[in-house]
Amino acid sequence: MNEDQASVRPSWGHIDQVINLNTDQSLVSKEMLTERVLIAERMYRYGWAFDERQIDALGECFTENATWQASIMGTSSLGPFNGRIEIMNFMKGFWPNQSDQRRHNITNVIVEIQSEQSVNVLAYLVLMSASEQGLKPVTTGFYKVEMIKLDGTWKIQDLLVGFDLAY
Amino acid sequence: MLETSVAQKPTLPTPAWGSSGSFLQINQAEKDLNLDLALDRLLIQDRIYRYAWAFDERHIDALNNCFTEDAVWEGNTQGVTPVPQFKGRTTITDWLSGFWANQSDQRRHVMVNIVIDNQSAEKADALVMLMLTAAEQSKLEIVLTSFYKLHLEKESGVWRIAHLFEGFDVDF
Repeated sequence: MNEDQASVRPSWGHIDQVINLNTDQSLVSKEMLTERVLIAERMYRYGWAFDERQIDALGECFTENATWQASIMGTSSLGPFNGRIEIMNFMKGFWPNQSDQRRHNITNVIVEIQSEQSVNVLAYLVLMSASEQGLKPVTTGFYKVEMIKLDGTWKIQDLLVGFDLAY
Repeated sequence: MLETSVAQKPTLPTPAWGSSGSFLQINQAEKDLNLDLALDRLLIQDRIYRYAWAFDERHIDALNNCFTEDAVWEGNTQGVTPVPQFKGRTTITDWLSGFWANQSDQRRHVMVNIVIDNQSAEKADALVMLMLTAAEQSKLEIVLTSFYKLHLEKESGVWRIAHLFEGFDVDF
């Protein structure tokens, strides 16, 4: 992390090698392609669970020993938080201090590396806030997520969120 | 007292300018989509998202792979100002990557509302809405909205963009 950077550098995810985008689509079996519906849905459920403050649903998104960390423009970091309980305590700690309705709009979900039991996923985030002051975009960013399949369900093992703004 | 009539100047963009200007057409939804076509839709979406990722992460190889060798990129602003046409993969990506030196912000091409028409095993059309954001210096802006009208072709199992039309809702 470079603490001297005050503003975002375009494509900072690549510059800092947080992201290594595959150069092309990968050929996968029909079965693995089908799994992508559920993989993407896990990302969306993460957004729903946080915004609706459903701690059980949020906990279900993660494995028991998951990790969660954030990078702000590659200049500062947050975490890692280790294990579902630590992650939940961290995340629900925001709720008493956020009086607005947040919406984690998660889009542009792509799958990079996929096997039957694990997968690497990239997604965009557009975080919006609605309050008496109106509607405003809070930040954009990306998720870099590793999921594993446990008892037929895709769960987040490692999550890194990269924020394009400090907020 | 002289009475004058002042012709009201139309404001741009005219709502639904894409349809009214015949730049896009909303078709009826497909019926009875088979599994193979449904799975291909995931890969078509993947290609559309990869176009955004490749541009925003300034990954020229990934951007090149979004297009067929003889692809065409063209556009129009608000139905009144054509964007020059670019033909061929390298010409397109040379032009697109030329923006990077002048953009000091972090762009995010947020692709939503993807619908697919005229799909076969090897070809498909897609409509996509875009919200383009830019983050810089503690400020997040919505730069523009637009739509994409795409024609995609499958090459050795991989979907690529053969024709891209972008309709910009705002002048930029």
